[in-house]
Amino acid sequence: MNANPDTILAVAGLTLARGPRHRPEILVDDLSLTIQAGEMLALVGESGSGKSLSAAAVFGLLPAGVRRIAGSIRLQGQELTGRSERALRAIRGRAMGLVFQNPLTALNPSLSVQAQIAEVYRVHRQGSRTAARARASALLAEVGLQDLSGPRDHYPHQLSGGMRQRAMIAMALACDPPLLVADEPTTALDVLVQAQILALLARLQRERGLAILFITHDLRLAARTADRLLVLYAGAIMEEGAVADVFEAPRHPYTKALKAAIPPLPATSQRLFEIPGLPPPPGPPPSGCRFAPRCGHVRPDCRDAVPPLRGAPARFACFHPCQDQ
Amino acid sequence: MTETRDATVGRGVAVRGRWSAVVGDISSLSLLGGALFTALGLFSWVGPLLYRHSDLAIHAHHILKAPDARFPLGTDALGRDVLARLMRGGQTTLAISLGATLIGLLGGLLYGMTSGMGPSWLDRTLMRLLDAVLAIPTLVMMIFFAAIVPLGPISLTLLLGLVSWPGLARVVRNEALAARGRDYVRAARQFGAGPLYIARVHLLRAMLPLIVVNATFLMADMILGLSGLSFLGLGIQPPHASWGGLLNSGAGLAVIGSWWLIVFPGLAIFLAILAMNMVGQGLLARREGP
Repeated sequence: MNANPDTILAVAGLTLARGPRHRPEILVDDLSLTIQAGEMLALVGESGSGKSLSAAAVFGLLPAGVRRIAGSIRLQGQELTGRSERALRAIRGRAMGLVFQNPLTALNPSLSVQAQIAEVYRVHRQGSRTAARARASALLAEVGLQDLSGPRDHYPHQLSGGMRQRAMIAMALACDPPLLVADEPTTALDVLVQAQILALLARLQRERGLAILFITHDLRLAARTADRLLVLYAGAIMEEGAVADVFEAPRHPYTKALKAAIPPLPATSQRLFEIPGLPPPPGPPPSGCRFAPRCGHVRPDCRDAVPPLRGAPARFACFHPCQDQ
Repeated sequence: MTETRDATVGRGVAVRGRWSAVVGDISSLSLLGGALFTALGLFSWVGPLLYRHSDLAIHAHHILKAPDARFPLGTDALGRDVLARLMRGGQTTLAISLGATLIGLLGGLLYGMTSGMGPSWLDRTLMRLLDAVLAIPTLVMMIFFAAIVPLGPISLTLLLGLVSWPGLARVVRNEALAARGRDYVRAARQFGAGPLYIARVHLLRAMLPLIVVNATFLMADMILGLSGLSFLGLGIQPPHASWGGLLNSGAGLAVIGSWWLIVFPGLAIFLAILAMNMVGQGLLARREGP
């Protein structure tokens, strides 16, 4: 699968853990994914399922105490794991950009938006101060902030949440990276602005041929925006495939349960569906399928062995997949 | 604190001029303190240009003269002009204090930044070391060093600078730790910024208000520290003047009635420290909000 020249990001067998070496707590277990140029892959999962941690691993910025114990991360065919901090610094921002969840805190309040975008060029030593400034203005116009592309400085507190998130996206795109990682980019925004930001991401994906890793807990949002879905549960892949397959006809009971948990529109007086129980805490996973304790379709053999990923074109990790609805 | 309160979203909205925005952001207490301190600076440096009398010339027939028309602040036991000495003493006192403050600022920034940005083992080591340094009373440390080095303006500046940085180092380190966890610093790392860049652009900017406030209080401390040393005879050596030194040489004589020998230098020290504290207090109030 690495042979494809359009493959931007290829993660294989990524396993992240924390705690003592002899008894590590596995946080992300054997995660593999690929994203092609011009494709948006949505990483869907509950809080603590390892979505953001996986993104941090791609950037080589794991939080203290968390380490990668296996797996490879390839960006445009280049292996990123095992590189020095210095080498990674040259790649961050230049070959991959990141958009944060909360645009209110991700911008420095005492620096103008233009200066903050220009600083990405400066950090990567691309062009003079004035050139960086001009490119920042052009970028702001590209993400729909034409009003800010003039010579006057604009500070974050003068912008609305949606404008700030656009500015963040401009910052992430400053050095034309082939890969954009968007970590819950719309969670802090209201619904209308959410739709605008998603439309912007889709346009950039189309116009720039950008590969986007879209991290979200919102299955419906993911299905509406992304090309492919990857459903994570407790650090492991449950199901992966094109939106048409995974969302429209989920085979894994977890995906199906997630879909059923989407509140219906228009609202009915019915009680909302919820998945019973809580995700397992990090630590030695329950034997067998890790979703078994909460699964509505659980059978005795589910607890005996870990179901491997199988199926085509969509892959799922379940012994007793749901049949067509 | 840098927020301009009436800056509104959108273009075409009149934002106050730069100068009035700056003055509007500084409290009147700070302005008053600043004016007072400027007046003391003018007194020390511009004063001698207007009042052309030597601070070292001895008027043997005018010993211990009370203030009159010829010697506005009187003369000392050697018949030297107290006003001229007060001006000259202001130059040494203020210059040395300012130099020491700058050294303390630089040292505190470097040490605190290294500790706050570095790995946790380095942070722990540097902070324990700082605890040890802070455990020694400042005055005792200054007296110890003052006893073993030749005393001059440069050595005194270094000496005061040496004891001035630890408090600031701790403040800087704590601020760096707090700022390091902010989202925009994390964002900068994701964009490929290195630690030096982050320290310079983001951390320094975040802690600038605090540093300015601390520098003013530090300056007040340095004036007091230098005056204390001079009063103990460990400061600027006679015949050269400093405010603390004038106090020292006048203390014994004041008892027998030469009040002008201690009142004026004492007032100068008092006003200088008051001015710096007013500046600092005013900035602090602005930083913390009304």
